[in-house]
Amino acid sequence: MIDRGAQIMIVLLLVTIFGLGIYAIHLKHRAEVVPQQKIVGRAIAPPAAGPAQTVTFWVASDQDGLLHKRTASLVLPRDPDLRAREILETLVGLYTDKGSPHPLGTGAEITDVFLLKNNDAIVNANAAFADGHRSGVMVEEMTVASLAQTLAANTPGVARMKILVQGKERETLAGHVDLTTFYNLNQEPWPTVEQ
Amino acid sequence: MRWTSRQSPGAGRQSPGAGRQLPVAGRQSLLARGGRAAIVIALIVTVIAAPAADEKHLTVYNASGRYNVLVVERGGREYVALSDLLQPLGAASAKRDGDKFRLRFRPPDGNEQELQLTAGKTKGKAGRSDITLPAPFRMENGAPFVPLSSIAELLTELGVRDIEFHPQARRLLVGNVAVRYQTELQRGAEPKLVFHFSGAVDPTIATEAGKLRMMFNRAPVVGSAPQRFDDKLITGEAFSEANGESEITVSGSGPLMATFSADARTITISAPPVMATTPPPAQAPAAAPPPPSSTPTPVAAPPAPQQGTPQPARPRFMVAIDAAHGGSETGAMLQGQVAEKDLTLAFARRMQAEFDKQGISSFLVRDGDVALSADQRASAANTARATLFLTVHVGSEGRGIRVYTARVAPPPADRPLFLPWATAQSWFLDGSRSAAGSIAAEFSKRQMMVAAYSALLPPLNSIAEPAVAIEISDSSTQNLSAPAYQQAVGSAVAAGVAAVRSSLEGAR
Repeated sequence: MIDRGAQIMIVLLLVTIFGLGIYAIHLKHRAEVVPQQKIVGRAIAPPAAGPAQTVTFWVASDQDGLLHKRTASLVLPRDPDLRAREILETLVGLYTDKGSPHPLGTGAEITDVFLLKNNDAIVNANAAFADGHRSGVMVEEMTVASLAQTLAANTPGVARMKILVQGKERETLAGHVDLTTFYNLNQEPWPTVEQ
Repeated sequence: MRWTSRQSPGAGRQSPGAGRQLPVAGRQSLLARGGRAAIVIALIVTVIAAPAADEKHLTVYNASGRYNVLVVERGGREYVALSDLLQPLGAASAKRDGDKFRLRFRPPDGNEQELQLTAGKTKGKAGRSDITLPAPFRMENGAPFVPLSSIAELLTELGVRDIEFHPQARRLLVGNVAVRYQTELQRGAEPKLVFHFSGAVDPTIATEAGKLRMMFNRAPVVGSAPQRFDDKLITGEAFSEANGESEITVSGSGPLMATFSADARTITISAPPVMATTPPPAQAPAAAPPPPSSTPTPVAAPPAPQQGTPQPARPRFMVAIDAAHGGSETGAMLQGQVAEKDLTLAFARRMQAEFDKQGISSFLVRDGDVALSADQRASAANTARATLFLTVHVGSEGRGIRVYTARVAPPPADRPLFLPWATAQSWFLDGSRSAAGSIAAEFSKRQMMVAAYSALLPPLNSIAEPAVAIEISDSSTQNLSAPAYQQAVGSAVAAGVAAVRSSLEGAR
């Protein structure tokens, strides 16, 4: 027979083992979630010195189908390409945040912007930007128009914009809007509202 | 409803080849290139049109009009896609769990019924009754296929009433829509055979020695036993039907012609009038009613003329209706269950029926679950020389109708002989905006939410005629699947196009 003290000890050991197991699962889950949060909560202002600049964003709103004007004061890099990238990346950050008026997929990012001498702009997005995008004519066109009109508002002289995904041309954003041709900024803009 | 599994969209886009602006070159070289280009274009057109000529299809007639369902052969038996068959007949939703397939279907005037089938099995359940198919049920790329010979039984079990199925001719009539006829032979010096139809008909007429053929592509004409007449001129009439169409052949000892009553319900067959100065021709072309809509084909374009059969002239005003997506390219998955491609086809078919009511000829660029590239769609519409191109999209973001025109630069002052493929629409933007405005105004008039935009949406930029995209959006797939809503949208689109018809014709 096992005496009562030993029985109590065995029960306590089993409870401790069970508790540690649950804690280990919790730690594993936290370790998985933290990198995801890092992606979502990326910094909106680059580590650049200098005075803050007023930036205009044309923010898509699914509710009314319009682009809404918003301004923000940001410290931006001097390099035009990096500056344009930070502006568009900030815009995409708005869309991936909670309560976004035009949600984009988790982890969507603008990784590069190249401003060419012929007034063309090449915007390179990551795979999550396109793969996680909702499918539909209006939602896709508003994303492209929002990027294009924000770029035009803050980068004078840009006439056309083309979006690449992971450095490659893609047929459509999510089954509808054409990404093989340039988006001409001199043509009729998407309807906007200044507020 | 999820009819097929989702695959990566956008496959199969062809590089644009037709319509590019040619550089200035030596005449001989240009001619040689032109000749080669003509051969290439002819080959492309032949390849595009070829499947339509050989394919089998089931033609379904219902109160809203007519549609085709592709018939495929599997294991020596004919099958049809259940999704294509049911979409226009009521509200359907389906679930797939491995090999098991469960369908809920509600006809417009009936209760919801459930059908359960298993891939590879013939046994299934419809409501509480057991059913046995004549051949195993099949699932291909997520789409359910049933034996053609079983569709009448299945539709009955699903609550569809008044079905008349002609399996040999692959014709299915749903809801007492059959147009029947009686004949009356009027003897005398100028004998006449009068056909009294129970509904309006618009056959294509062809004549050959001793015969006059009336081919019914659109009206669900159902015939009776052949008749022989004891008459010198008109000796008999016979009804036949095959591959979704029907035909009445009138036999005679001389040339015959057909004349139509104003309400298109009576056709009179008689000898053609004899001209005083010339003898009657051996083969006289018969009078024909206004040209009907062209038969829908999977890859666009009106039907190719058959040898020896006079075809009606190309309609002056013709709308190409393009149901976006198709095949492995599902489009958006609405509420994660319903593929956009299925709803675009349902809306396109409704629009075609409503165009019929407005007396406007139209054809479906895609009339089945087939994948077409943007360039194929543009080629089909341009080759058919449609007056207006309408592409239909369906979404679940927001609510209401969005009407789009192409986002393309205005054209240069001088119009080239060959329009650039990527910007052909530039020269037709005024017509496109006019049509979009008229359609939007019609929706607005009917208290339906509507907004107009421009978009970089293939294939609009390559369409060499006025082109409009329509996106119908609602957060509820039930609303989008409702036949009444689809008809309301189709009716508004047809009325909007009818209102701008004369100006589009004039611009042409």
